[in-house]
Amino acid sequence: MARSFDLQKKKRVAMPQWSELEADVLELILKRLAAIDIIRFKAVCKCWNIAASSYVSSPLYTPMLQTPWIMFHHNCITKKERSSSLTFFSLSENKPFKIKKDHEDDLVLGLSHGWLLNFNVESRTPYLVNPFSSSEGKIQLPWIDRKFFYLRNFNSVVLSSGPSRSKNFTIAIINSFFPQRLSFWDHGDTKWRSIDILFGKVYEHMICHNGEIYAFSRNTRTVDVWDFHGVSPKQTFYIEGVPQTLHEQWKVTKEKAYSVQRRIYLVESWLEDVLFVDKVFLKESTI
Amino acid sequence: MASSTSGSSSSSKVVKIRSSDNENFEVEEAAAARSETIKKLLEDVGDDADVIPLPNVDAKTLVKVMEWCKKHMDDVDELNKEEMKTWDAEFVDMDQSCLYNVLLAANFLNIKELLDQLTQKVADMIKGKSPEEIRATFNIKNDFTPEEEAEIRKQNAWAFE
Repeated sequence: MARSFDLQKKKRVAMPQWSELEADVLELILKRLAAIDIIRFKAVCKCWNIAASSYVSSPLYTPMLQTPWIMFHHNCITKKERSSSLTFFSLSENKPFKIKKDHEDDLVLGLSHGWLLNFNVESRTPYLVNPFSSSEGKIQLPWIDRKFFYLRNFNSVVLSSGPSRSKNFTIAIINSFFPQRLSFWDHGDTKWRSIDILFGKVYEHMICHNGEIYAFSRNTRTVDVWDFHGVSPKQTFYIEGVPQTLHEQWKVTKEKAYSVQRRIYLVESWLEDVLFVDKVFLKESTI
Repeated sequence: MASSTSGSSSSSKVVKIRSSDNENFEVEEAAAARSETIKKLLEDVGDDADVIPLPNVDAKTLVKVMEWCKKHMDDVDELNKEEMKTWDAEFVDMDQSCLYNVLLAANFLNIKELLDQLTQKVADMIKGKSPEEIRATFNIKNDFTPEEEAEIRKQNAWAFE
């Protein structure tokens, strides 16, 4: 009797109960999963759902470093052209994902730290939203004067840090064209702080580096550095001698014509250097 | 080291541990001390230790864990790093039932590096899989009601395409 009981007991102990793993072990596993895998992890069983939900809502939660997703963006002007979803491409899974937008008509003006700056056409107000985690909610921004519609250039929005991590962040945008105007909004503030950029400069791309805004101006081939912490933002220094780029030129061969476009991007490296990325693309055109 | 006359060289000292199914093992202290739990127990009982009982770990699992501890007993020099990596990769490549037991043991025995390697292995087995595939891999029962499951999927429908 006792013997058979022992055997039974042994067998039961040997059966793995993955769903009942201790919370701290589950957390060690979750630490090694990308955001999309955590979402699927939550849908496995109740225990895993509870573990993953409490893991991501913990104030200490730091998302694992993961391969960035590429976002496909179309600058759709008309309502007809606008899509009800955003398309992303995951390099690690080698497939596209379509995420439904909250409001079909809202325009996507830019993205930074995984958050989108959207613009609600009806109320003419901008807001921040994390497309992967609608549960984090929206961050409504104050109404902004100026022609937001000009803000079609995807590189003119930058967040000083991700809103998921800390509420202490600033958003910088380039709004309007002539002259360009740089506007800052600190989280919780009731209005934007704006400053006109020196006439003749056209900022093409900006990043936040060491708590300051680095903005590349194509026509003057300079990088301006802005300190946005004071009451009025001020330019602290600039970097000259950015390599020459041709915005657009044509290349014509016997059979075909190409438009050659180049763009410069600023990128922060792991070693905290600021790098230029010069992107050249050829577009075939009919003559 | 071998010619040391002190006789208290810890590297050659042997400790006895006992599994949950009452099998005794003799392990070099340096290997056993990779486990913070055993190390602490050894410090507490000092030289009076007879056999250290490990009520949560069965013999089969303990053999596996001690195999790892023995391999990781000494510091690895640069030359052996690659070899060690291969060895570790082969070590964690076990069936899910065995992996589960070793994972629980590593957690109970508090062997951080082994725990890191095992949880990484589990994470790799989860990556890119749908919830159904994950359940099949780990033999997990779906205990959601259809309504609950639909609700969870609705929150992030795009991730389940």
